[in-house]
Amino acid sequence: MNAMLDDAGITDRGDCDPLLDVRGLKVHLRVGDAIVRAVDGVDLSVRRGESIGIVGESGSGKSTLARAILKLLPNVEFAELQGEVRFRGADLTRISDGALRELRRRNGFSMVFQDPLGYLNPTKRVGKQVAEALGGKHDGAVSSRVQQLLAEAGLSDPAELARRFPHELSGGMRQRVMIAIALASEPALLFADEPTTALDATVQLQVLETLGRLHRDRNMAMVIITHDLGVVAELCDRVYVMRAGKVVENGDTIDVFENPRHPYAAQLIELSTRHRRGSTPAETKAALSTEALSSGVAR
Amino acid sequence: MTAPILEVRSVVRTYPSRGSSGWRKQYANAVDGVDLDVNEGETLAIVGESGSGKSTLAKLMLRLEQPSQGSVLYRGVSLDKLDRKQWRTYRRDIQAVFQDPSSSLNPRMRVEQSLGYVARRHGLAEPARLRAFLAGHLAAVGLDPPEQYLTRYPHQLSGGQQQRIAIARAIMLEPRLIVADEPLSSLDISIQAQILDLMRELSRRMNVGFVLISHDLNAVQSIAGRTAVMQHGRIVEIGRDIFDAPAHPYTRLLLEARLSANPREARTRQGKPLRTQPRDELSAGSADMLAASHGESAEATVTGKT
Repeated sequence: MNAMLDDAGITDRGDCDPLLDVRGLKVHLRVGDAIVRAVDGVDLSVRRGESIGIVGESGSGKSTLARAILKLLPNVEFAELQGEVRFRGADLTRISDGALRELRRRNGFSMVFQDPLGYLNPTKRVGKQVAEALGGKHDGAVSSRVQQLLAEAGLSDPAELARRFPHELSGGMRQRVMIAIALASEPALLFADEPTTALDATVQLQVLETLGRLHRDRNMAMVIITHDLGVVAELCDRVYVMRAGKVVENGDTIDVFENPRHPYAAQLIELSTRHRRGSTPAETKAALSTEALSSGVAR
Repeated sequence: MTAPILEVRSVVRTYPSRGSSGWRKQYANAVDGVDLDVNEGETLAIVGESGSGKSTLAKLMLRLEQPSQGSVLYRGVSLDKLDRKQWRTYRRDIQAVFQDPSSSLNPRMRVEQSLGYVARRHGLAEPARLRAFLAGHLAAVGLDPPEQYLTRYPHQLSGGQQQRIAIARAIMLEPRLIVADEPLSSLDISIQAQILDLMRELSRRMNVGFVLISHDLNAVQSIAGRTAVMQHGRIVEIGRDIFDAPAHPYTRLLLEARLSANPREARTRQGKPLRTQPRDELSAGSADMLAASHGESAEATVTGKT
């Protein structure tokens, strides 16, 4: 642990629980003349080694929530930004830039995004980009660590792969490179924003398996942001259902899926599971009767 | 059963692509010998992963692409041999709905202009009655009150509303068949359900047929009569009961890869191994991976066409 983190108030020595504790987070953005209440009073916590899911449809604020927590919202005009985000005991909303950098560099948090091509440098070989995440010069020790990370992300023949450019890889492989980069800082908490949405079904399952394995083997906490309840069912211990900037339901994944209390959560789960049984139009109409049509859909 | 409205006969569509060095010219068959009948009024789904050729097949049906070999027949006549009159009825009878509704609507036209253009072009309504005609079709796709939507630009509509406009534009012409290429994948799940309901209703009320191209087996299962499974440009399996009794290993693999949305059945959470081995992109040779990224088929042939 270094002095910068001590100054920031991170007294955690691997025993701070919950790892992440968000209280009353509000992110209101100014868009033109309008104010968008993207995140509107959210409480959320992640225990050490736990995996949670944040689900919601587009515009529900789930990605903004994650980006606000990780301080990845540059160049936006906040109408209001308040609340408390405690990570390993320190309030991220007040942390210095240096300490934030330190958290990103080592044992803090990392993030994996939906579209790996948008985050990988097209002009640099994959191995070099992983090495940059390690922060060191590109010597022998680094290159063996790079290969180790690529292998851990589920890529076979990492030595050969490290010499490739991103455009030479398939979508699933690119996402695994993103995962390798995210692992370079040995994060205590990994955020994944729609990590498998752009992938084919068979590849999706493989990448989810890899994330599940890393979560278990490294005792790494995960926050999975997704619109797909199947992904939550596969990976997450607990789930938060978001709608219009608010958490409408949260709890143990099995409890929420089997006994949803909020009608919107119940409807999402109903729609996600119904196809498996086949459906009739009448049933779908009933599920969509008033709630969905009145809000969310129409502006 | 009446005669097929569209027949796809041994169609091959070849695209040039570059070799791994970037110099040598290679060819890839995006569609590689497909035979398919689309019957009047049926909902036929075509599923497969990216690069399987399903979108190319849709374009061939819409004559947005020409087959390299073979032919597509509309009511028994090859698409490149239609006379003027047949061509006009083909253009009315077969309509298209695409994945991204915002890119298939002109951003500089109000809904009224976009739809009105089609209506005038095909002489669907008297100029004086045009507005009422358009409003009627917007109401038919569940946009209510319709007058409110006529004056909007596409960017003022949500994705689901835009997709409804695209469907309204297609059904105005009272087509016999709508080829819908991934009409659901850019939409939220509750809106997907509404669009699927709309398609069911149109099929029941007007006996419109659909060719539904999708990678989402769950969405397809609830609506399709027959489902065709494509892999590497070929149809490996087609039938009504591929969900209950998949015959081809690739179909089984796709069904297996569906996430259950039931946490008690979750495989990865419990660290369970997969029951079937998915297409292994990791252990495949580098040439195959390169080929895959260029949309070529990694396997030379697919056996067991059923």
